[in-house]
Amino acid sequence: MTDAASIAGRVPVVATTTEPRLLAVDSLRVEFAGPAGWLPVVEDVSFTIERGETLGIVGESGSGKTVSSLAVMGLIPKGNGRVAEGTIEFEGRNLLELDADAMRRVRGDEISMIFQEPMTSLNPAFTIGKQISDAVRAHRGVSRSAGRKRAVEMLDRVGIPDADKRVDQYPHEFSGGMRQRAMIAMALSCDPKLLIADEPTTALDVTVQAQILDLMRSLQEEMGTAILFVTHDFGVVADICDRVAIMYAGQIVEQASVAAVFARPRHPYSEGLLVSMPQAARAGERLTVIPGQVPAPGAIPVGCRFQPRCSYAEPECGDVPVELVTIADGSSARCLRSEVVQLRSAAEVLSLATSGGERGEREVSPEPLLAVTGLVKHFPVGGGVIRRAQGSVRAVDGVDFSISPGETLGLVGESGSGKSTVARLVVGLLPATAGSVAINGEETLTLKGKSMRDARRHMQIVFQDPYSSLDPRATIGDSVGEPLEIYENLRGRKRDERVAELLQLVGLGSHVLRRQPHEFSGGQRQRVAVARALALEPRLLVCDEPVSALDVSTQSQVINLLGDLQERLGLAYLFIAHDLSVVEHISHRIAVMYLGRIVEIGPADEVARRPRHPYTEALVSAIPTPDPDVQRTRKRIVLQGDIPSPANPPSGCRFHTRCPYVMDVCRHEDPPAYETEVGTTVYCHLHTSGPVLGGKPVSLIPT
Amino acid sequence: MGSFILRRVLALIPLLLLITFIVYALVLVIPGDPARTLAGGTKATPQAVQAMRLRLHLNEPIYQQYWRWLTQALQGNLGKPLFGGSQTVAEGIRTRFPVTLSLAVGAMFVALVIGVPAGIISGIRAGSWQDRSTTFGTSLGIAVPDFWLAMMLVVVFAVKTHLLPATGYVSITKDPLGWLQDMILPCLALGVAGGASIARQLRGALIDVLDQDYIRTARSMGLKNRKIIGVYALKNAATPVLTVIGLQFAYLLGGTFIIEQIFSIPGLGSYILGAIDTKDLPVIQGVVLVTAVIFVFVNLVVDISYGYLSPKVRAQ
Repeated sequence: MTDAASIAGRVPVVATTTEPRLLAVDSLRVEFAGPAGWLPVVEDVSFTIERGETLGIVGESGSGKTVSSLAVMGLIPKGNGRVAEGTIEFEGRNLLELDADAMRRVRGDEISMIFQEPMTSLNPAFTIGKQISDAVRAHRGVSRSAGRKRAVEMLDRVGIPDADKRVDQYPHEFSGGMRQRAMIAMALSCDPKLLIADEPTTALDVTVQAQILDLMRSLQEEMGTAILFVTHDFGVVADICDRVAIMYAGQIVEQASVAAVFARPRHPYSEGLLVSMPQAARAGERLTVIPGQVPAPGAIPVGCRFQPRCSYAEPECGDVPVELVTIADGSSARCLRSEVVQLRSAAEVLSLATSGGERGEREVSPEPLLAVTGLVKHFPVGGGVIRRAQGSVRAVDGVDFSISPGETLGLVGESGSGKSTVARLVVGLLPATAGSVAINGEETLTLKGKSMRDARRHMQIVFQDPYSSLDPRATIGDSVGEPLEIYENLRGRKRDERVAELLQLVGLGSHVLRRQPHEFSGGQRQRVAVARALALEPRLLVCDEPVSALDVSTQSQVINLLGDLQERLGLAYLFIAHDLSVVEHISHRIAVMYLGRIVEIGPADEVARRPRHPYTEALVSAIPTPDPDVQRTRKRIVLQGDIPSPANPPSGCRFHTRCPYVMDVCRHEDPPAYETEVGTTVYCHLHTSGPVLGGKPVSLIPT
Repeated sequence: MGSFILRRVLALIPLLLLITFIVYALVLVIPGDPARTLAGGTKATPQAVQAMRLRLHLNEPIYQQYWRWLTQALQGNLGKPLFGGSQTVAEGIRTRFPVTLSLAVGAMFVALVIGVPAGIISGIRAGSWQDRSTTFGTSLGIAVPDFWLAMMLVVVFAVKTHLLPATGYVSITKDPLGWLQDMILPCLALGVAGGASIARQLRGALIDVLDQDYIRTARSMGLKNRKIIGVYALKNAATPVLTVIGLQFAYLLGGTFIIEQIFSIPGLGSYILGAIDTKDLPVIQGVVLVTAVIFVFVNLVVDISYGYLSPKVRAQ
C-alpha cells in the first residue's frame, strides 16, 4: 500500500501547534421543520480541515452533505431550518456564536462557496465583473474601479481568455464551464482560507470537469486554500481529495485518508458505493446494487442506519445506535463489524471488470430494426417576422447508424454534440430537416396522421428527468395507462389490469396504481416512465440520459432493470448518455458524437477501451477512475476550451480546433470514413494521412 | 442598447398604422348611412345629409377618406367638431389632455408609492404577520371599485371634514397648491387598486427571486442584506412588475373617464362622453387615437425597460 501523500504528490500543510485548527466541526446537529415538528437532517457530524487540505464529503442525495456545508457557511434557511447542537470552530472562533453581521463578514472573505449549478448561480441581470467587484467591495473598502480591476485579475487567473473584455459580459454570454470558472474567480476574490465546493463539476461535461478540477488544484497550490469538496462521485474524490468523509442518512459513516478508503473501506456503505459503479462490473452483466433507498428523515432506523440495506448485517446491528469509532490507522467508521468484515479495495472492485466480458450471443439479423441515414436537423437562428433567418444551428449534421433487434447502441458526446436532438428526431418529436429514419424498413419521416401514430408504437422514449416527465397531478395508473387508452382503447378495469402487469414488470407493485408521482423517489419515477414507454410493446426504446439524474445506487438499479427487460422482451435500445462508463456497461455498440456528427462508431469494448478517434480518447481519459493510485498516475488528455458553436462549426474536421494531434489536412478536409478490422468506423485523418494509424488505437501514437 | 431601442421603435410603425386605420374605421361601424345618422337620423333634411356627406368626404371611397384623414392627422389636424364651438378637435384635446395625463400620472404615482413598499415588505417576509396584513389590504384594494372609493373619499375628506375640495380643477400653472388639493382625492381613488396589484405582483416575484441560486451566491459572498434585496433581487423581480405597470396605465387611462365625471374634472373623459352623446365623429376619432397612441408609447417604454432589466431580452 502506498501512503496518501506520495500518491497525491502534494503534502497537506500541517498546522503548527500554536495556531488553532482551520475548521473543526463538532457534534453538529441540523434540523428542518417537518409536518410533525423538527426532524434531524444532520446528526452527530464532526470533522476537521487543516490549512491547504482538501476534505471530500461523499454521499447520495439526502445524506446531509450539502446541509452540513451550508451550516458551516451560516446559510441554513431561517424559519424552517436550525442548527440545534454542536460547534463550528473556524480558527478558534465558534461561528455559531457570531451575530448575523459578523457571520456575513466571514462569508466570502474567509470562507466562500461554489455551487453545483453554474447556469443559475450567477445573477442574470448584472455583468460578471460587477458581481465579482461587489463581492470584493463587500469586504474591502475599495473603489469601483479597484473592484473591477480585481475582477479582471481573477477572471484572468481562472483562465478566462480576454478577461478585460469578458468582465463586462453577462452570465448568459458564458458557457457552463466558463460560468463555473467565473464562480471560482468570485469565490476566491478575497483570498478565503476555506473554499466549500458543493458538487462543482456535477452539472458539467466530463471534459470540462477535468479542466475545472485541474484549475482548482493549481489555484489551491498557488493560494494555499483549504477545500471542502462535496460530491457523490468517487472518481472525483480519487482525483482531488486528501481525506474523505462518507455520509449516509445524516451521519458520517466513515472518515479516512483517500488512500486508506480506497485501499480498505471500513464501512459496508463505502464499499457498496464503489461496487455499484458501472466500472465495477463486466459489460453486459448485472451491476451490484445496494438494495432499497436512503431512509427519509423521520423514518430513520433505530440501530445502524445502513443495516436494512447492508449485506454484512447481523441481527445485533439493528438494536442500538452505532457510534463512530476510531480505527488503528487514523480512519474511523460507524460500523459494529468493521474489524470483522474484510471489505474489498477499489483495485479489487475494478478488477472485476477488467476482462472486458461477454455480452452474450445476439442473433444478428440482416435487417436492422432501425436505420438512420443522413439525418440532419438545422435550427434557424435570428430572424423574426420581418427579417430572414441569419443562419442555422447545425444541431445534427449528417448522422448514420442502425440498430438491430435486441441490440443496444450507446450514443455519447458532450452537451451541444446533438445527441438529444437525434433522440427526438428518431421518435418524431422534432421534424427532421433531411435524411431518413426507417423502422422495420418503413420510412417514418414522411408519415402523417394514423400511419405515423402506428409507426410510433414501435419506438418509445424515456426522458432524463423523472421529476418533470410525469404529470404531477395524474395518478401512476393514468400516466402509464394513457397510451393504452389512446392506442388500444382500453378503459377501466382492463386498463388497470394491464397497467398493473407493466408495473410488475418494472419492479413496482400494482398497489401504486392510484398514487401520484410526488410519493415516489427518483429511481421509482424512472421505473414508472419505463413502464409507460413499454405499454405499447415497442421494439425500440430511446433512452435520453435515463440515469443521469439519479444517485449512484439508484442508477445501477435502473440500469439492471433495462438489461433485464432487454433480455426478456428482446428490446433494442438507443441509449444516450454523457457518462461513458454507464454507456460502455450497457451497450453492444457505441457511437460518439461531436458537433452534430458521429466521429466513431463500433463495438462497445473497442470504442471505450481502444479508442481510435482522438475525441473518444479524450472523453475516455477525462472520466476520473475511482482509484487514487490509477487516477493520479495515468496519462490524461485535458481538452482545451469549450465545444465550438454549432452555428458556425470549424472547417474540415470539426474537432481540429481542440485536437492534440491536429495536422494540416484536418483544417481543410472533411475526414473520410475509415473501417477498421475490428468493426469500428472512424472519421479521422490520422488513419489515412500523415503518420498513418491505419485503424490502430490512438494511444499507439508516441508522445 | 441603442439598436435595441431603435428596433423596438421601428417595429411600432406598422402597429400605429393599424391603429389609425381601426380608429378611422369607426365610420364603417355606424349603422345605416353614416351621413344621415350623423346629420340627425330620420328627421334630417336631405340638404343636411348631403352637407354632412360632403363635409366628411363620405362620398369618396374609404381608402381615400382614410388617406386624407391620416395625412391631416399626421400634421396635427384632426378636423373640427361637428357640433358647437370654433375650437378644433386638436385644440380641444390639447387643452384637456394635460388634465387627464396629470390625473393618470398622479394615480400611477400613488400606485407605486403604495405598491412597491408593500410588495417588498410582504415579499421578503412571506408568511409573517406583516405579509398577511398586507395581503389582506391588497385584496381589499383590488376588490373595491374605484368610483365607490372615490365617493367614500369625498364623504370623509370633503363632506365631513372639509379637508379637501369635493370637486373642481385648477391648472397647475395657475395655482399649484390648489391643483394639488384638487388632485389628491381623484388620484387616490384611481391609484389604490393599481397599487394593490403592483404589491401582489412584486410580492410573488420577490418570493420567487429570493429562492434563486444567485441570491444564495450573493449571500455566500457576504453581501449586505440591503444590497441583496434592494439591488440583486429587485432588478430581477422588476420585470413581471413592469408588465403590470404597463397594463395598469391602460386601465388608469380608462379609469380617469369615470373619475373625471365624479370630481367634475374637465379632462378628455368629459370631452369624449359629450361627443359620444352627440355622435360627434371627429372628436371621438381624435380622442381614441390619442389614447391609443399613448398606450402604445407606454408599452414601448415598458419594453425598453425590459431590455434595461434583462440583458438577455436586449440580445434577442
